[in-house]
Amino acid sequence: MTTHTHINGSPVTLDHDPTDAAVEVIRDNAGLTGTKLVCGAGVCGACTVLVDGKPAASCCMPACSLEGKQVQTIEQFGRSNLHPVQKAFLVHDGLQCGFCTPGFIVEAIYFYDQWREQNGTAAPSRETIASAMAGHLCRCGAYEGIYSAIQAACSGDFDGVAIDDLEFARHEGIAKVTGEAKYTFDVTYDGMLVAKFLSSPHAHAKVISIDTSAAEKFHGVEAVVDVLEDPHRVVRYAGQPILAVAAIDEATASQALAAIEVEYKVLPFVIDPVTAHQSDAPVVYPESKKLTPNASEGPIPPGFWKGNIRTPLTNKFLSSKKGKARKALAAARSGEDGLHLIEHTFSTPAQTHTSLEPHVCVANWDGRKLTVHSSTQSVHLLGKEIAKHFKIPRRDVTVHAEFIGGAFGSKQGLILEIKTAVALALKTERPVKLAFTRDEEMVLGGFRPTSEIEMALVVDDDANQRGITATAWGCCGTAVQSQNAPWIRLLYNGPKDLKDFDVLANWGTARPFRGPCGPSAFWALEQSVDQAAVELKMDPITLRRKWDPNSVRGNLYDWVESIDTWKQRPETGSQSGRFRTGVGVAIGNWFNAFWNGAQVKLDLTTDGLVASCGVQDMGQGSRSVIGKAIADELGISFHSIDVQIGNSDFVPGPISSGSRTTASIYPTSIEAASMMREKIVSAAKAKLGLRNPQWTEGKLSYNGGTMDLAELATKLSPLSVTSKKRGSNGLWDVMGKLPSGDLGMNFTLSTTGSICLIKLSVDTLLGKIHPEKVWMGMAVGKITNPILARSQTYGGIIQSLGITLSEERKWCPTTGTLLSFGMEDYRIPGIGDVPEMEVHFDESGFEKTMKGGACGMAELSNVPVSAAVGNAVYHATGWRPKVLPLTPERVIGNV
Amino acid sequence: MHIQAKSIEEAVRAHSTEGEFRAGGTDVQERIRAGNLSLPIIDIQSIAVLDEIEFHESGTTIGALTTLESIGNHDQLQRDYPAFTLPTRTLATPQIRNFATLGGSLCQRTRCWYYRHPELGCPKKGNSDTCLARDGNHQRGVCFDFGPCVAPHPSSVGCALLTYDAQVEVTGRGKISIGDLYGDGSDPTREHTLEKGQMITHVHLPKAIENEKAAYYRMMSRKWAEWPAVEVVTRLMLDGNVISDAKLSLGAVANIPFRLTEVEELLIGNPANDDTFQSAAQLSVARANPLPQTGHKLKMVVACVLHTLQQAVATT
Ligand SMILES: Cc1cc2nc3c(=O)[nH]c(=O)nc-3n(C[C@H](O)[C@H](O)[C@H](O)COP(=O)(O)OP(=O)(O)OC[C@H]3O[C@@H](n4cnc5c(N)ncnc54)[C@H](O)[C@@H]3O)c2cc1C
Ligand code: SF4
Ligand code: FES
Ligand code: FES
Repeated sequence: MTTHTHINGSPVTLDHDPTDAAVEVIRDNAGLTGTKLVCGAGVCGACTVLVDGKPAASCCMPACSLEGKQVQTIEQFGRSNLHPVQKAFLVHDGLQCGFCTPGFIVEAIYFYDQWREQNGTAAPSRETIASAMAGHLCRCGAYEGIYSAIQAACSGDFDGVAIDDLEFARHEGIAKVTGEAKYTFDVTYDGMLVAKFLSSPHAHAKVISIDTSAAEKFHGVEAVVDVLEDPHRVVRYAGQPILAVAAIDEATASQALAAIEVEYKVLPFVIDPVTAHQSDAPVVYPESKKLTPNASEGPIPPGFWKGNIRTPLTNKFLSSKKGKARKALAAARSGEDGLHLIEHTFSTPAQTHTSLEPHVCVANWDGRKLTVHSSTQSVHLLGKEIAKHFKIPRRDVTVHAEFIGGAFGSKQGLILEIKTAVALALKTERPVKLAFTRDEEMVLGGFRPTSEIEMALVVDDDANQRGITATAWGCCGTAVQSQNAPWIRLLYNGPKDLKDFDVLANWGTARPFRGPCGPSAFWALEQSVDQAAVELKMDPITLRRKWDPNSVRGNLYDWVESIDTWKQRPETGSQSGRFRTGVGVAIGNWFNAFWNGAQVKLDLTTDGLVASCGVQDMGQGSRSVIGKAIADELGISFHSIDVQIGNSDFVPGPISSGSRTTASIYPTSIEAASMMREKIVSAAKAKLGLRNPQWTEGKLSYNGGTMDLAELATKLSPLSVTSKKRGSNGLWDVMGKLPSGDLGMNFTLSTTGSICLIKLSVDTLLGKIHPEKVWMGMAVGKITNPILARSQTYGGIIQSLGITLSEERKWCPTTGTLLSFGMEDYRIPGIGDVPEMEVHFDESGFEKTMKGGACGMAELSNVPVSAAVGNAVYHATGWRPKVLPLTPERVIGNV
Repeated sequence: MHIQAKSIEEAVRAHSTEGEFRAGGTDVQERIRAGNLSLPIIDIQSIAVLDEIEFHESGTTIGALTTLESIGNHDQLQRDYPAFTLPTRTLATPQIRNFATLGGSLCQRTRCWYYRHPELGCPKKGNSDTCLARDGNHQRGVCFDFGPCVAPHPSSVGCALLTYDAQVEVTGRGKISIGDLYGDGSDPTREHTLEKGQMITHVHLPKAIENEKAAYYRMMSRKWAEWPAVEVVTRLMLDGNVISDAKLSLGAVANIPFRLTEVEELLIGNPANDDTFQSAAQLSVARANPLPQTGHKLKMVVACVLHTLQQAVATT
């Protein structure tokens, strides 16, 4: 059918199917890819456009409804006519990865117009903004910036402010607030094929036969590839892909899939990890345990199996003074005088990453060169891996990942969608796009493992810690390496008896997720410590100080103790009435990693300085880190540097995991800048014959004058420098040579830490927990860019609040199907769920261990939050929560 | 495959054998993505004059194509029918409310995850005779088990309109009560009683009552934009401190929204105080027969009923 409409002021005629939604014609027919398609169900708002001036979820609007309408998309608000709202988003950093940003901005512009008309330049309240923005979700957690951006724009802070007068931290910010940024999801090629998976409806089954003959005869079907890598031809979770089809369009691919016949032998399966423990439970890998995928970033240590339970041999090294801990436990259990036993089982559910941009890959093979666009956290490494796997010379493979719509650990390495798209491209010699549907993303995209931790903490009357014992079970679905127990060692010395087990179930595979099982380890540990303080009638911080004499974290304790909310909190259990205030504190720690191989290339061209690095940005701000390091080192303006990343042809950049990115690229960017400075100075001497040239305050000064970079560029370019791989750094290098790959790690745990203080209210009638304010203190060394560091921290807090209060996967026990396959049933926090947040950075204590001083913070901001909530709920009500998430159904009746 | 109806007659004719109306499309489009729709699509959005709100002597008439946004933000409707506009203003998201219609909100299909899943069978989809949820996962299901389907009825608006004894005008059936629109929940294939060729054209609300006290609560884990685990619409009419009339309905706990008549009877004639409200709240689950995984909803119903009663009297 045909629809006549106006988009961004121009008349458009759209030919489309009657079933098409507006988002499809806007993106595919009109080519306006600033409008994103994410949930396809009216939940996330990424597809928001204005239709006759009103915000619409274009994924839930029939395309034919646009007939005769005026449609405005984000592209209406371009670089040359930025709206005050866009300027405010830039300056208040209301964005990270940017995938949700166009939707938010379109809605915010509508809100701004309404607000200004009715209220002039009064600032709207957070409540008002939250209800207006209720139809948008941001997985990066940029909400705090969004609140302040909308308030500032409405108050007129950006009326008539010129774009050149804006100071903002995100180097690529303008591309993101205008919808110009092209993510892999937005990439198209002429003649591009669309690939789709055929997936198993069974949670455990042997594939007996597959008949693709009918499908392959379909007009428009170009290739079918088998993607089931299991040598036993067994699928182990519902929704596991078996085949992929590439066809000229999605409809053809879907028809072809429907024509494929697969014969299965259905096998018994297990969904509930608790059932999976039992000796008679169906076994997930009955044939062999060799092929279990790895859910962690480290290597898989040897282990032994019993049914679905895997015991890693590293358990041998987890404990310290194990005997002492056991003895203390036995004594406490037998009721020995003067001992207090805090013994509980704590558990946390799986948490899916839910990146707004799904896993997606576009591959194009021109017969000689392979170009791959991928939403990946490891652009450099991926180039290598693809070359190796497909036996193509490395120089003939280019991976692009200029913009990535969130990843959080789930998009590392040569994973299924990439392997499949490349295989299909090689086979068809045509460009192929493979994007997970949202259902697939929820099933295949990865998740943080579950935890069940039996923890006992023994203390004596003098508040000495006598021992901690913990038995931890984690479920990574069909993968291994949950690792809940190891993180218990990141805090507090003392006797420990720790055991860690994987328990497998017929789900997809877990993937690394921001401090994988850190939040669950601290959920158990920090609530136990809090309970110890209760039993000892001691101040919880005093108790922690006693057990944790570390000076860096000591500063964080000082900070919390200076906060009025902490000082003035009511006594635990002293409140009655329906609404109770809870104040809780918890600490966390993490190791930090870096990559010695990272380099930055800096070119002085006629257009100015161009920095490049094969790193990527998923929202944490890699371009900004590089740009700022160079700008500060040279004393020049940040925006004057062109920073190019997200390309595997550039000099090697780190994989973005384990909070490694900033720590790796910041020092090397400084090095590149200082090399360039020397090169300019010596070239000025040699080529221009200047006398006594020196670099000062962003300029070259010499006997008789000065020259700025622009002038130098015209006279000296091209000049090029590339920073070196890092030299010897003692411990770092040793770690860097470990078999886990080229990653370095800092296990000097005395230098980092985070502390979370939360104030919340508990509605004891309705079982609702409302976080009111979060204070997060972070000891992460030098803060290279406070605005971005804050944004990252907010994001960590918010993701943690998600798993603490609302996120939960739901399964069908009889079919083994994931039922929370959409974003309305998997409930990530919205803007209204976000409390006020205050972040404090303590920069001391770090210089000694990490040269350059920068360290990642993604995990540290995330790991103590759940426990702080638990402690605050206890403080308010006297009820100690043990099972997350704390949805009303779990709270009601308990408080 | 597709009919663009320009009149009620044209729409109804097209629908007489098969197919599905599409109004705002906010429910339909989502189901198209999951391949869950009966064709042809009959677009009714451009039928004229079905989007008007008319106040008259005997009450108020609202066209079926009126958007939820224009209802929820309508000043006079907010004054006259607060228990109707409250849920209308807070359900779903602003973008959905801007284009979702009154008719669509009443006739939308269930949000049961089995029904919405592209691969699973369900009697409501017509691809299976058995309800997988009953023996599978029904944690978000009903705790008042009225019939074969154990998924909660989705319509918050239907729940609210019940408390006004609203009537819906249906082609070929004339005015029927909102209760009759939903029936008794015994039909395993549908959420309402509309047959082929039957379309809602208008909703009629009785004359407004002055000074009614209304409250609405939806139990959610987050602040906004989430399907409720329980929702309660409460209207109280007071004579001094005595409750002269009460209308309460429950949503999200049965396969149809329904009135808590026994609670209403208890309330009427009693003082509006905490004792009354506590007994009323306890009584609200008298008819409940929860499923194995929905027992938790009982506490929620009691709490929500109590909360809305307290809220209602607190409104001025
Ligand atoms: C995130 C989210 C949360 C939501 N939360 C809630 C909630 O809490 N409570 C709630 O009630 N709703 C909720 N909704 C659903 C929303 O209210 C409905 O999608 C919307 O009201 C449907 O209206 P529509 O005009 O778009 O219907 P359509 O999608 O056009 O149609 C829906 C159904 O109604 C039928 N239909 C439409 N008009 C008529 C008519 N005049 N006569 C007969 N049949 C008709 C159609 O054939 C179709 O089967 C939510 C939606 C989303 C996306
Ligand atoms: S009959 Fe009802 S509860 Fe059962 S699967 Fe279908 S919609 Fe869900
Ligand atoms: S993509 Fe439309 S609301 Fe999520
Ligand atoms: S910035 Fe919002 S999803 Fe990434």
